[in-house]
Amino acid sequence: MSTTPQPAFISVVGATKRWSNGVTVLDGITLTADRGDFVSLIGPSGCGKSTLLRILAGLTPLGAGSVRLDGMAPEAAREIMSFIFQDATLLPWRTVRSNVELGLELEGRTPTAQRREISASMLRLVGLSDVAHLHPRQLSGGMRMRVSIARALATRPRILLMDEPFGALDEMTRDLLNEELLRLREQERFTTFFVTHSVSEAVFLSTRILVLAAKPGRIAREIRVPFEGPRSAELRSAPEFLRLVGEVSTALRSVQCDNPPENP
Amino acid sequence: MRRLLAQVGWPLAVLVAVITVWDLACRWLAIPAYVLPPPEAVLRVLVERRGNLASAFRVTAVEAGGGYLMSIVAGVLIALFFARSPLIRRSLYPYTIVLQTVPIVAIAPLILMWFGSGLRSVMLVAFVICLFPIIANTTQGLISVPRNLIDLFAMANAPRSAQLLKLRLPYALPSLFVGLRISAGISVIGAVTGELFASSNAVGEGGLGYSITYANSQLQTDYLFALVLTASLLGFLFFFTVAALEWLCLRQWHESAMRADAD
Ligand SMILES: Nc1ncnc2c1ncn2[C@@H]1O[C@H](COP(=O)(O)OP(=O)(O)OP(=O)(O)O)[C@@H](O)[C@H]1O
Ligand SMILES: [Mg+2]
Repeated sequence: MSTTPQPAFISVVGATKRWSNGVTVLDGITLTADRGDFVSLIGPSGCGKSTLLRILAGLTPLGAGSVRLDGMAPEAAREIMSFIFQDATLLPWRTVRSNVELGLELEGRTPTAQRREISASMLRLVGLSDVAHLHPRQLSGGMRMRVSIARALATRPRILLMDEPFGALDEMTRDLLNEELLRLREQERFTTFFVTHSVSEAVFLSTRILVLAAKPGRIAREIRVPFEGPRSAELRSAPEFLRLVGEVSTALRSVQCDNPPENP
Repeated sequence: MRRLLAQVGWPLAVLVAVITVWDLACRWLAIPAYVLPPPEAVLRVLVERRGNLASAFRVTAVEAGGGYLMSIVAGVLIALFFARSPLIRRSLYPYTIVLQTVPIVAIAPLILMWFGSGLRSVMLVAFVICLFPIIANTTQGLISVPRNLIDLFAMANAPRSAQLLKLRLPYALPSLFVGLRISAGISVIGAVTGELFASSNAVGEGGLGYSITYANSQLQTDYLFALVLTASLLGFLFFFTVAALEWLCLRQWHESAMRADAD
């Protein structure tokens, strides 16, 4: 969107975070992401994936280091950023439509009529047009997640932060939503940071996978996913896909086994 | 609607049973009427003195209702203040518990002594007794908003006012209603108790509590019963008004509000 001649769209340099109890959760994380990248963060539980995401969003203050998103500090970058949580975090007293409009409503720049239009088109995008008038409790878990995605996309974010968005779903729904997310990315061209525990999900979606190690949290490996062109469900059975799944799994196992820092 | 019916149906059955036992006891045990008047005597008084009862009902309804409404406004405001920080809660919460644990019969004479024994003082007694359940429940609702929802509003750079109006207050609504239901009944207790103390030096206030002391001193036990029934009726009216309002406000999403995070 902007024409800033920044070398990287998103850059994190030496990000370090220590909790008040003295535990270092992230130690010198350095990474960059270009426009349109889909970066997955994968690693053992408690290694600080959520914390890193929350730092990118400015929800958790950074200890040391710097974070720049399109040249902005996290708080300022919220304008172009949406966060999708593990649970759908819908407001139960609002209908699906008005949940989707929440972001626009809170920003307060879009007139009501236009909000209506946007929410309608977002719901069409995630295939939920005919439940727009229902309340969240009347939806299945997968549908709620779709509403959450529609809400996040309604503000036209350039950056999407997703913390295990499909963690609570069954595998079939998860696969379906993965394909949907790829399609949405084709259309909306957002840059994504995606936390997951599923290796195949990470390989299927990402352009790059960062394997994090724990105690303290740091990037142990970076694996590029070089698939060209649009991806489809068939990709899951391609030999190259399976090879990458194997590679990521091995990397994940090695960080889970040895605790002392290793520098590749 | 079915819930409402169940709430009315079973208590009604109990009422019929109690009246039957009461009637039989009066007949068989030959209890004097000034100790326990038979049901039909009470019924007769209810009809004959309906004018007195209605005006006493009105006075007490204004006192209880006024105190109740005041406690809702003040209780929600105090809860909003309490919800601002744990430090505020820690320092002030113990004093609201004092409000609840000191018997109302001890507070009522004080209030009447300080503020005179008019209708407004009785209203104040009702107010004091209603306050705690509303503060406690609303505060609980306001501070249990999930962190992710708060973060969601933070991500949208939502101002504090939007967070309050569009997140915290709606989220706390079911808890507020719990407090409202508890206080609906006890507002009548507060008003009647207040009147008991007002009666000693008030002249023309004549609410249910005042009439109860009067009937008691005159050994008009049947009238006393009628007054007690009228007071319960008032409590029931308050309670069901609130229950109906709650149903109207929450029926769309109430269940989900209770388990908002169960996916
Ligand atoms: N506010 C906090 N204060 C202190 N420690 C915290 C806080 N939040 C998280 N932690 C700790 O920081 C570590 C990293 O937490 P984080 O939620 O980022 O892990 P994660 O990688 O997302 O794990 P999971 O995969 O289980 O979601 C954990 O050990 C956690 O206990
Ligand atoms: Mg996490």
